[in-house]
Amino acid sequence: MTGSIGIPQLILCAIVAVLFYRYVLSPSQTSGSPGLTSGRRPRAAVSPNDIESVRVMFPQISVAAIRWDLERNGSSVSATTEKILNDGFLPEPPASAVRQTPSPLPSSVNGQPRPLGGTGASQAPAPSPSSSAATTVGYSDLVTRYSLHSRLETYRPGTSMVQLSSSPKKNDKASLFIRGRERRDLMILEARKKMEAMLRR
Amino acid sequence: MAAKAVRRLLSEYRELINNETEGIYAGPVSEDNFMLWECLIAGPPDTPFEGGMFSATLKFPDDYPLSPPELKFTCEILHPNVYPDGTVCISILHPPGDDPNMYESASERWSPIQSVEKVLLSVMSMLAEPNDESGANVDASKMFREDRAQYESIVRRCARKSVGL
Repeated sequence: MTGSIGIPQLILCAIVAVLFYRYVLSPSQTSGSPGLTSGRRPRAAVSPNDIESVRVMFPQISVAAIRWDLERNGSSVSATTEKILNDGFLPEPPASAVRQTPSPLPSSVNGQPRPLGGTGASQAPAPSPSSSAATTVGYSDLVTRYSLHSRLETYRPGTSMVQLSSSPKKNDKASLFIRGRERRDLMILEARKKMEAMLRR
Repeated sequence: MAAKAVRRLLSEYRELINNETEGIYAGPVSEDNFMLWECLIAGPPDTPFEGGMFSATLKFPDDYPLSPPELKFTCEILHPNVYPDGTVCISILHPPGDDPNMYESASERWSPIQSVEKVLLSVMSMLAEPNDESGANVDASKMFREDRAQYESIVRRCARKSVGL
């Protein structure tokens, strides 16, 4: 009789009660994937640059979805782009994840969160096979994608090219990137000007 | 793992930036991933694509340049040799031996002596001269054959939209 209910038994009961409460009574908190991954929580690690580099390629994907995916895969831009290329879209984050993350990007995309529960069609860049119109609908134009609207007004064909070629030709990776991006932007600006001229004719 | 591929891609990138080729741009999307590039291809003159600037991504396999990259348009485009998801279907992107369409000669296909620059130039000539034997986009092939006027007007619209007009 005496000693049949001692301290160890009480502790055991307490553990069982806690486990019972945790896994049986409130399954909603533990079953979702956010609960499971919250142990690592690399949240703060996602840099705006990573988000931007994904967004530039896939402007049809919302910033929130990109950030959420990067948070979950440890900020791997390549894993996220791989996923978009394979699936054609990224799942939208749950409302709880959106609330916690202020958006640092001053882009227009931020202001318009994708309607939750909308038709899946708006997330996938590929159109339905029945449409005979152009493929890959839903991309933004290049001027918007690379935020070139401000340069469009000041751009005069030829002017920036002079600055570019007078800068010393360094071949280290960082200077290659700077020159490469500048060339990309100039090509877009020039094409835009040519198209404007073509349409005036 | 992909160190050889990265070395090769870095040298191709340097070459592309130092010796600019008219009408094409290509470069890695971000400094820390050389296996995914973005590129621009100008619409060839005297075609309905003229004046447009068409963007695409190039995805390189770990064993590049043994295996070819995958090229996918990231803009609105209508073309018989471009799948509805934007993936481009031309012989230079197919490894020899793997000929899904049974008409390509081995010399036209991918080999390590090809390069990003050659791929993009091939895509540019593909834009100018669609090959309607390869029906990557059946609707586009049909329209190209049977209703050229509509095909050209849609292509012209895509070209305008690509530069935001």
